[in-house]
Amino acid sequence: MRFLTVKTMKIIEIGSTDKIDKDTFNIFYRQNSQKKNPLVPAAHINGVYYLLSNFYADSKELVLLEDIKCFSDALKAVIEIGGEDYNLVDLSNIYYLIKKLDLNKNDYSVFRKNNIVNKEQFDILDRIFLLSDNFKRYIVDKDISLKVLSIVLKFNADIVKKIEEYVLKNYPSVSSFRILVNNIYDYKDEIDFKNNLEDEIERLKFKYNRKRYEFEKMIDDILKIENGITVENKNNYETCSLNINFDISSFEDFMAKLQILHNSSGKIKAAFDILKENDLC
Amino acid sequence: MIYVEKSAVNTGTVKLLDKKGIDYKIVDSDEEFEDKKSNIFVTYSRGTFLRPCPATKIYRCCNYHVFDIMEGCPFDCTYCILQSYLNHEYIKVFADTDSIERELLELNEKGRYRVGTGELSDSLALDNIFEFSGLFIPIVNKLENIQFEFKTKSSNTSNLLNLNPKNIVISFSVNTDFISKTEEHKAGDMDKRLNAAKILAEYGYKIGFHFDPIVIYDNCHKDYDNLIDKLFSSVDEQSVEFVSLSTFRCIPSLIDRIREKFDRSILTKYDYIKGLDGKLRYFKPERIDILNFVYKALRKNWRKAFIYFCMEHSTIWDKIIGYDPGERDIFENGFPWRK
Repeated sequence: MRFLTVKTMKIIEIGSTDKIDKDTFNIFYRQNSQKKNPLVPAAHINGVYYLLSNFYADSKELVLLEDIKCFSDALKAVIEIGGEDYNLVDLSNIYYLIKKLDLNKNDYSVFRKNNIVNKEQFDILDRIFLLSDNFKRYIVDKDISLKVLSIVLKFNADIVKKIEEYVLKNYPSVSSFRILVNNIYDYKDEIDFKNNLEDEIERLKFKYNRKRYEFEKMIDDILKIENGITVENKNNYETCSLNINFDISSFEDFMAKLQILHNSSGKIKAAFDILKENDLC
Repeated sequence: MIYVEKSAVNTGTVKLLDKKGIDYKIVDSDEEFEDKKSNIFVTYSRGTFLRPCPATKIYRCCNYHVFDIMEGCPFDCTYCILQSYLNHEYIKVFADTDSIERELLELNEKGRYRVGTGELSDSLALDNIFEFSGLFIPIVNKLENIQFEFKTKSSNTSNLLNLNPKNIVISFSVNTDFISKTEEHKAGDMDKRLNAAKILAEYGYKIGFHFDPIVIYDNCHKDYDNLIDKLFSSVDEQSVEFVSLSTFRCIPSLIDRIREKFDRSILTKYDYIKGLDGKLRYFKPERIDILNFVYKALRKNWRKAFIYFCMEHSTIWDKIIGYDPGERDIFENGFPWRK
């Protein structure tokens, strides 16, 4: 690994005939957060002045980094000047540029620093690059993790498009997005994407978990007891037990709640009958 | 590709590679090659090989001991806990085989134990390369108190046909064709596993079967019934040392790992409950239903074979078989080796 050390630089004024490239090294998705810097660093390679930062500046003066004579060093400079905080879209742009310029990705520590080390992870960067601008904005805005994107980007293009549409319409939180992606992964072969996505997921979740969900609904209905008294099994029915909870604020309150419980004995019996019927007691 | 750590170059394991003309590359560490399943890293020692199989008091566990000669597996089963447990994808082989005999001798002095290599790897998947069967079996057969189990999803069993089957159990993980084809990537074909079991039983080995994990899906009852019929026609009951049954369970992080790694899996469709040990499990009535079904189906023909539930609640034993096997050492007394 070779790190950039710029020994010489000078300020130059560019003329109308000079070739200026503002785009090639603009790897940053976070345009709005680009520092307002009056200096515009550049490298002169093959007769073209390549901007290395401050890409949107409208300046006639450039700070020419004279040591930089090749694309490899230019990209190193861009990454160094860009700082430490690279999001996944930036990284996908860097990786795209490395391939486009026929450079060696192992020369760039920015990937390792961001825990991108294996082929699978670089493949994900490849696919992030191809996403729509709106989807990229969502990924950056919500800081969606590489792990979640690794699931999304294994889906076929039609499903990715549906997720993109959903995201733009609902702009879900990070956790909601993760749940959505998991659910689509789980049921993607059976989801009818022409229907409402949430309804479809609900339908399929119920299909695969009918026995448990029906049991839970039935027993929850039976164990509804008034006045803040709750009856529940605390270990997902792994053991045959029910736990009764209530708060009391006075002796009278205590007696009232005991009376309610006494009046609810039929419900408790019915609950144990259901537990027995389901082999849980 | 096989990579040999410098410290392991003069071991018997590497000399065997030389003898067989198998290519390998000598490296300083595992940082010199890509971390993937097709790479094998031969290193010197893991410290102690032998340890009790991890157990919980909450669910019933036997007193099995594991011998970790390898870590990692060439097969790629969606449900495999090693994906979350190990911090590497490559297969690690420990070459310090000199301490094997000492550790087994020490255990032999302590009492009657069952030991196996199939916890952190498949016992036989790489036996054509490393021939661990030929290493362990002569040692174990000199001991009175050790029964050694090779647990596998492969049919890589030809080395076993030149060895004495005396204190040895060859066990096969079995599952329905559907699960085998959709969840057990790169593992051996089920019919080939059963054919290997048949040949080994005829040769004189005791055979074990592990229905683990039993997976619940539409038509699973019919599929498990068909599988059991195939077992009946492959191996006589007198050759069956034990059969274990257990439904799918896992640490919670495995479900996300499956989603990240595989295109699809039946296992992620179910909304598991968190069990008393923190692992995800099927809802208890569904576990009871399928375990009871498989148990009864096996009992139709195999009336005496020792059938046990691996890591199940005592109430499930009671419900299906009519007794609680107790905690580790008492549970262990149920195995034929302890009788």
